[in-house]
Amino acid sequence: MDNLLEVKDLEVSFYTHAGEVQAVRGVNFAIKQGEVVAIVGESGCGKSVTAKSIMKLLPSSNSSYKKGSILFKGQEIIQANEREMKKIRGNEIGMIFQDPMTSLNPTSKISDQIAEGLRKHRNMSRKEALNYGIKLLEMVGIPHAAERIHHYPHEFSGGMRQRVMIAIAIACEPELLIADEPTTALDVTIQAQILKLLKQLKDDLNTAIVLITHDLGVVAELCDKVIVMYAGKVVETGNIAEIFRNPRHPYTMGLMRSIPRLDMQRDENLYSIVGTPPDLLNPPKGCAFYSRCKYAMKICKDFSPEMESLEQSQKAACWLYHPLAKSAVKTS
Amino acid sequence: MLRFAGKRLLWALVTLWAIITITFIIMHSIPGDPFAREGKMPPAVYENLTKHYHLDEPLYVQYFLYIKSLLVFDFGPSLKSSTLTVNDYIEKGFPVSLHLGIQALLLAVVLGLIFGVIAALNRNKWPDYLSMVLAIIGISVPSFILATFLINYFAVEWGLLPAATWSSWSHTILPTISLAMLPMAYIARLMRSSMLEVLNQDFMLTAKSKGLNKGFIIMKYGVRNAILPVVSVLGILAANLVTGSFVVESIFGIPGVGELFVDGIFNRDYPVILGSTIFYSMVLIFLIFIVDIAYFWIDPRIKVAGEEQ
Repeated sequence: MDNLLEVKDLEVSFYTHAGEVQAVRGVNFAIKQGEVVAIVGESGCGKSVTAKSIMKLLPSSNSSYKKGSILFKGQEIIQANEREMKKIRGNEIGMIFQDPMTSLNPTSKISDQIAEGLRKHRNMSRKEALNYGIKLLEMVGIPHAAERIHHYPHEFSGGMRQRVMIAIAIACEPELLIADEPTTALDVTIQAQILKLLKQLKDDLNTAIVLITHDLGVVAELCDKVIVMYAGKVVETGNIAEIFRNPRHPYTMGLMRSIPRLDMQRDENLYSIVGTPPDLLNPPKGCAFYSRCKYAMKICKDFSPEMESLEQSQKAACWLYHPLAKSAVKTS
Repeated sequence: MLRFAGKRLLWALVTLWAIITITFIIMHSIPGDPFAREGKMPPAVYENLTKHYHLDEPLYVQYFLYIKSLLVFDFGPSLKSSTLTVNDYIEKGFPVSLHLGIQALLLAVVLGLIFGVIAALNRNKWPDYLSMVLAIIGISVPSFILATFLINYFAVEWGLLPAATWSSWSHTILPTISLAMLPMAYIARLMRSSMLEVLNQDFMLTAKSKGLNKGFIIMKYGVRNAILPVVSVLGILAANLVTGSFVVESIFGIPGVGELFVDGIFNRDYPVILGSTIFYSMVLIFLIFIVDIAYFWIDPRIKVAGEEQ
């Protein structure tokens, strides 16, 4: 089956007073219909920028696509003009943002905020949009939806607002839903509810989801495929079982070890990857993880590794897996 | 809502009382008296005059007499005119000032908002610089300079518009512009910074991600939220404009309340000074009250907070 979304060699830069920040430095991935793909990585690794660039939501004043292509259903997004993008945004691709407290317009009723997209993309009348909006709110689990739809955002709690955001994002039944850290700003019990909701929506609507997160628990809960990003590049991809059972890139190994475990001793320190990610104003010539990697070799410093196919769908960008590398270290 | 209004009304009365008392005390503590400039006057006449206006009574008696008459909205007689009362002056002058003020306010709000929004949308590009240069000129050039400048060119040099007085609509144009410039500049700057803040909010990105039209996003998500801080200063600006700028009214020879006030101070005409101060305060308090009510209407978040109290 054809890919719904294909991102190839994507490079995105921001221009600041300090110079060019190469936020995304060559990202490749593809998503099929109904698939859930997680993009994980620490803050500043370019995952959010990647997500926003799919919908062309980056500020045009100080950012630019330097290279690569984003194909959505065969259409090149990077070349698309504003008119074409308006047809895609909210209609074929929906987006959920990190902070539900600030993502809704505070001076506009929920009914309006849901109806806007429906009226624009589905040509619904005011009344149809309202009724459909109520249905959507019921679908995302908001009690007394018929009454609540007339309320303002500040009358909802954080978790409820995120449900409203989801209702808005799925209103036009998009084929792709981009969720940019949808649970980060919520407390843990609410996080679980929102994840459950996303899972259920995926099953009901067969929507493909790109989930941006740094929470590996969320990934395990929901996703089919994982893309691990580091310093603007993809360092490892694979299906969820492969990545969790057998992480191959040293960075992914570190991430996995950083998850606190229930069977840990109480007085044991939590594991963390030593060091900080490189400055993307002057990205390193070689592997970006070189300075923090305990398997670092001479070659890593000056030459950037290519993605190597490992078993099945798993790939990692690390010199350890180069065909000429004598024997790869298996585990950490 | 009613409770809120009642509470505000009570506070308004307290404020008004404080203003009356303070003005009264300050005014009477300045040396000299209303008839000092009248020239030679037989002592008997002087005595009769002071007696007639109760100026010979102790200050606290004068104060209570004044408050008593105020309770029935009587601002008292003018000490300078034998026939006209302060009420007459206000009735005559206020409609003129109101007309001029409303015109200036409309001009200031409409242009101020437009300049502010355009500047914010074109941040650090020429429309932004142009609007902000205009705004800085508007804020830093005093209205009397602007007024004389406008008169010199539009009336004297080019003969396009009348230079002064108040009769036809074309007479109102120059004073309106002179009066509107400062609040317009102020609103433009306020709207620009407010709009810039709103443009960076997450919900702007949400709006864009819904595929809505740019104009719709700017109005419903941008301006609708950015206008809130502007509305909150509107009350004071409006009161300032509606009760007349003393300077602009004097320059253009407009018979409004501003001129009345200036004359009152020159003549040490106690009831006129007090009357116009109180009247000004009343308009100010009333307009701020209106703005508060308007806030209820445009910012839904305040409604809840108010009702919960």
